[in-house]
Amino acid sequence: MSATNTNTFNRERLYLQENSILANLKPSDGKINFLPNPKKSKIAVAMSGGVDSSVALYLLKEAGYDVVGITAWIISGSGRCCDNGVVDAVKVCDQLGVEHHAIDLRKDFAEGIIKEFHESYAQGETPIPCISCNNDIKWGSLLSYSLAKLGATHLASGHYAKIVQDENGLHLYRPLEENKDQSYMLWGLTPQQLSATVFPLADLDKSEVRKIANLAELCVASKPESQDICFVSNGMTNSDYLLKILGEKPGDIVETDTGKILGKHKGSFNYTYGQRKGLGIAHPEPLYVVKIDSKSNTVFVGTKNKLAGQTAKAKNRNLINDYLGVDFKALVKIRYNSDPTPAQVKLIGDHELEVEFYEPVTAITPGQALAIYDLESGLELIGGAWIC
Amino acid sequence: MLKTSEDPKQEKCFVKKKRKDLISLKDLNVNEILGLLERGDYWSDHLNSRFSIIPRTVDNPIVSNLFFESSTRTRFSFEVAAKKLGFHVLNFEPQNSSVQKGETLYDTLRTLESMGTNAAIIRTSEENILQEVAPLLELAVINAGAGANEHPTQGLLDILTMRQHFGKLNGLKVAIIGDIKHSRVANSNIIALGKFDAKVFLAGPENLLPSDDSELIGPHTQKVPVDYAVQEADVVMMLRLQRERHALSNVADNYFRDYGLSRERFNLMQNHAMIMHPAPFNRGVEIDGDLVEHPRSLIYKQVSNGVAVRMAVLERAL
Repeated sequence: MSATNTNTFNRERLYLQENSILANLKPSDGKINFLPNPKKSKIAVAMSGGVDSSVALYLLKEAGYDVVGITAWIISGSGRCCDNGVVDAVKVCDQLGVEHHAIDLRKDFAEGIIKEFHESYAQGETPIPCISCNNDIKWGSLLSYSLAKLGATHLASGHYAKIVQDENGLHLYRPLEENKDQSYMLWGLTPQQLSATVFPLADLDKSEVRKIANLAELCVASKPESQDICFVSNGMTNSDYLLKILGEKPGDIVETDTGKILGKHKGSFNYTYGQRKGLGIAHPEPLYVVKIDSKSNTVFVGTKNKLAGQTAKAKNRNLINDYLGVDFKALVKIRYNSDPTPAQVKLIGDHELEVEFYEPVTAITPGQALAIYDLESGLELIGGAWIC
Repeated sequence: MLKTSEDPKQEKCFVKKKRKDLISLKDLNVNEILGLLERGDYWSDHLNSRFSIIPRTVDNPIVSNLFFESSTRTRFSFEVAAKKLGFHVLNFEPQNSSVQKGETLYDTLRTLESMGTNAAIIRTSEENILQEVAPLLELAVINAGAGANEHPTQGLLDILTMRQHFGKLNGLKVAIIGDIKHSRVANSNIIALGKFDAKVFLAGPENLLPSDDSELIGPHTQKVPVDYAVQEADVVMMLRLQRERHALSNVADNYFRDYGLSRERFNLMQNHAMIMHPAPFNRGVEIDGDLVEHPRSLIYKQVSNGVAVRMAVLERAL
């Protein structure tokens, strides 16, 4: 491996089992994924029972780490993915001869993440619960349990993301696998949380992960990907779910320029900024949701140009690294599937920030998160905040 | 009368379970206990034999550990037993104690059942909850210690250890010394020994002995002074001072002098008599530290028999 291209060399990696996969991965971007010293670490691996986290466990064990499998049991009911996930995680651990613990976090999840999700919709936002779950459940309750009760030094997960160490400390980077890049979901990790984290899949792509699962004959090797929001039951749409929880709340759909009532809706939670389909309005030009006002229970619609926005305000920010100061240029991503866009970022007070995009962006949506990447390479995740 | 109720729990009451619970030793007859001891003997002989280990496959049974009170040893012992039988073990880690109460425990167990769990091994501080939920569930409920009530697998491993050493249980004289009132271990031992016509001497501070109207007190039990119990018994079973179950301050110092198994008291024992203790022990509180590993101590045999007996119990359950 050539260490010349890398800004630093993670010496702890010298203690990895020589022939292990992790010890022999060559990162194509030249950034070495941080791994702690196996002789001094005990790693709790957060397992969903899926392929990614199972391979993460396998790789760490193979590289010589003392590992323990843990699964957050966050929801239960017949056929929830969580239920099967726990059992699959147990089976993978048994297969690899690793201890497993299923941590009952159903109460934390219901009173934290699910409650927040309902409240956010009730306020006309479009929430993204997976980020709060990462911050509060996985790197919250699960991490503290691992450190306090299991004697772990680190928490590993099957996320596709990378940690790079240099003389200034640890940095969170996008992974090799661009299609599976999950760094956007991780902007809430504090430097303390990051220092107790390991991402074994940083330098692998999904097909390689499947290949490893097959070679290791893991019983979950051909399990399909999970998608969508985990606490909405299979076969139920997001809006069926919200209708059941929040109840029907009829209101008006209003043309934003003219103030003309164009139609009725059954609940503003059925809409998100930038939505075009399902409005049920005949209009010469395509109309999009441009604003949701929860106070008047009104969904405002307008033509595409009305969706463009150049500034975003965001709260509860987290900065993984603050070397860029309080006013800096960066790439900002405003939703999971959007591209990072050049912008000026200004920190305001202790918790907020404001972003001014160089070119207008489409549908800046309250409740969603913005993630900030470095301007030069676009690879380092600087931090993020909740759009308000 | 069979009720046709909307409530699934009501209907479930009438489902005859195939799997076998172990909640109280009172529920077992002598033959059932002997059956468990026989299998316990078998596993105790084959504990480290490779040939007896059942290969692991993905489809093997799943047992869940639900420990609402911490107990590293009992849990580990059950886990080792299950794994030696080739079972998968799902360690459920409760984060708030309300989960062990009524409906919530039932819901959790139902979910575990729907996930494919075949048996639930439960340690709880609630004394009668297992009797309530077990009949409503298809999975086997195994009591790993319920409050101050019972700890049946400990009772079984203790009598297994006695039977292995003395070759019989009938007529054996067993002294149980210490905090009997708060000890589920003592309860289970008294029940088990009663089924085999063994004699049980109970000794300890008056306020820590069961009251005379307690259902534990029967023709086979006798409250006696400590030194009498030690002199007469074939087995001297010392109990741990259950500090977490009652507020006792500065008891420890006098306790060892008055009730502990000191060297002096050990010398009162008959030459063939053996020491037992369910562990964990407080050295110097109820037992002299050196006696724990004395040749006349069966304490470590008890620990290894724990795994063997739990293998027998899990085998029977499924």
